[in-house]
Amino acid sequence: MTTTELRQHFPQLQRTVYGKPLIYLDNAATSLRPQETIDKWTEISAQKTANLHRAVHRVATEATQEYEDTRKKVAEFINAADYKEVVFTSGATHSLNLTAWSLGEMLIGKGDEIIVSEAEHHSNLVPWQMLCGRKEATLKRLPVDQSGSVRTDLLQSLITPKTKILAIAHVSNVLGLVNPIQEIAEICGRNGVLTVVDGAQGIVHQRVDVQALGCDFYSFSGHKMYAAPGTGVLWGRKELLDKMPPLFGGGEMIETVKWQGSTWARVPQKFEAGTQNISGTPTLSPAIDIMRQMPESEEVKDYVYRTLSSEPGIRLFGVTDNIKLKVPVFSFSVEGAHHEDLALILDKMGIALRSGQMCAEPLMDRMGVTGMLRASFAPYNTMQEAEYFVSSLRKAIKMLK
Amino acid sequence: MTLKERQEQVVEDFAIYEDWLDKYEYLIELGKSLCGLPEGKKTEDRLIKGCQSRVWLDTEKNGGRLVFSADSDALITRGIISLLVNVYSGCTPQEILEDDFSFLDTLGLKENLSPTRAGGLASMIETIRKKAQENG
Repeated sequence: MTTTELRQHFPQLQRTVYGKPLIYLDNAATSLRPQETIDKWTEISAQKTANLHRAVHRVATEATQEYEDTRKKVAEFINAADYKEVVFTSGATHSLNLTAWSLGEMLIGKGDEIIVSEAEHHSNLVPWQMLCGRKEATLKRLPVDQSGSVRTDLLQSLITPKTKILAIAHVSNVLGLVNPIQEIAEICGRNGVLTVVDGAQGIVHQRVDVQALGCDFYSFSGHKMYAAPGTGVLWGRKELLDKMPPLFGGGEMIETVKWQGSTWARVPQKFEAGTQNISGTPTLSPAIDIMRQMPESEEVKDYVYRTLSSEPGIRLFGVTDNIKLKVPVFSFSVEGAHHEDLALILDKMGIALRSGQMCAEPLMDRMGVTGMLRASFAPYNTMQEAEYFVSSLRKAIKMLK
Repeated sequence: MTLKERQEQVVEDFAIYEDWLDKYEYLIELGKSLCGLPEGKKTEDRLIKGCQSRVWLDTEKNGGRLVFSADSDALITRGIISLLVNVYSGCTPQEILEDDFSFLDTLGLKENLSPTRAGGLASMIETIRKKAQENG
């Protein structure tokens, strides 16, 4: 599929803001939805609404089919060994909180250690802080260097016999750098440490093979990968999921319920208490279909990277010697211009991008800034849009001088 | 000039610019011309909570009237607070408390700022009203 063809699938790309075409460069926050996702949601809402798994009637069967087919499709998409390893959640935040709580109950005690990288989104930091608070465990920091790359070389020296879990993003939501998960999971595995990966950005830009990555858990959101908001996935190795206690109790997650106590259903149902996202979760299917057809040109990424990294007065974060290891997520600051001012002006030029701390305050502190601007691209963004962004940015900077 | 006249003046000045980029340009100029606060006065207790950029408001009482001065690290926000300072500085607490701040609606500022920034503007108004209450 060409970029032009791809754009036809996304109705929001047709809209204007302030009379100008919308240039949507906030894809790392949430992607736009293709018509296929909208249609799937509508189809189920209009024709196939019924509660899943329980009832024997026709519509319930169809709805369950949509939901369970999607589980198989996701399993195949990330190359899970077993579709039962795919737990549906409301998003990466839910997945990570579930992992932190459940693993915490299973294996964290007083004095144990959890390592978290310094470049994490709050959703892969705060749940671990909460766990450490609850269990009197210690949170240890895996630092990043000045350019934002994770100091994998320091990992081995941080691990002690007390270390139980390491949590890290596949791709940083601020820096756009791809972390060497394989190498990290290998070091952790050798030392009996579980590797929990936040794949919210990774799933969008990388071909994810959870078995090849070698990690133990991989979480992501549907809304960043062209599916409906309120959908998400937690993938975990089955032998671990089997042992982990459920976070939510309720319908669907039980095997038997007696006054004396209850027993749990098998995975993945054990972790899916309550009524599922009947209309939303199956939109992961058309989203995966369209992702497989997206153009893979790196022209736009290379152009924006080259321009922003050589522009005087612009400090680009997440620079790398190997552009192959960076996704088109560009966070930067401009000398003498506040990120809020730039974002306000660019907005009026029709450009949607993010300003502020991007849910990564510790990383902002590490880089010594109060905030950044972030332009994040998707395969439907064109070269023309990238050029308009660069020229608008130059104009906005000039306005503030 | 009375409070009402100052408000009308602002609305008139703002109306000249049709395009929002031009309005921002005007706010940026206002921001640049604001004399700001010395570093020593940019303290936690003068910081207005709820803004994405940092905004400080200093309040002094002079013969029954409130004198405001302000600063911000972002220029457009500095322009907005400067506009508020120009309008409300020199008012009695009573005048501020009786005012409904509706001239801001006429400017269209609120609906043209994103929710977080509109929240920032609301926080600025709230702070000015609070200062009037404390000194009333």
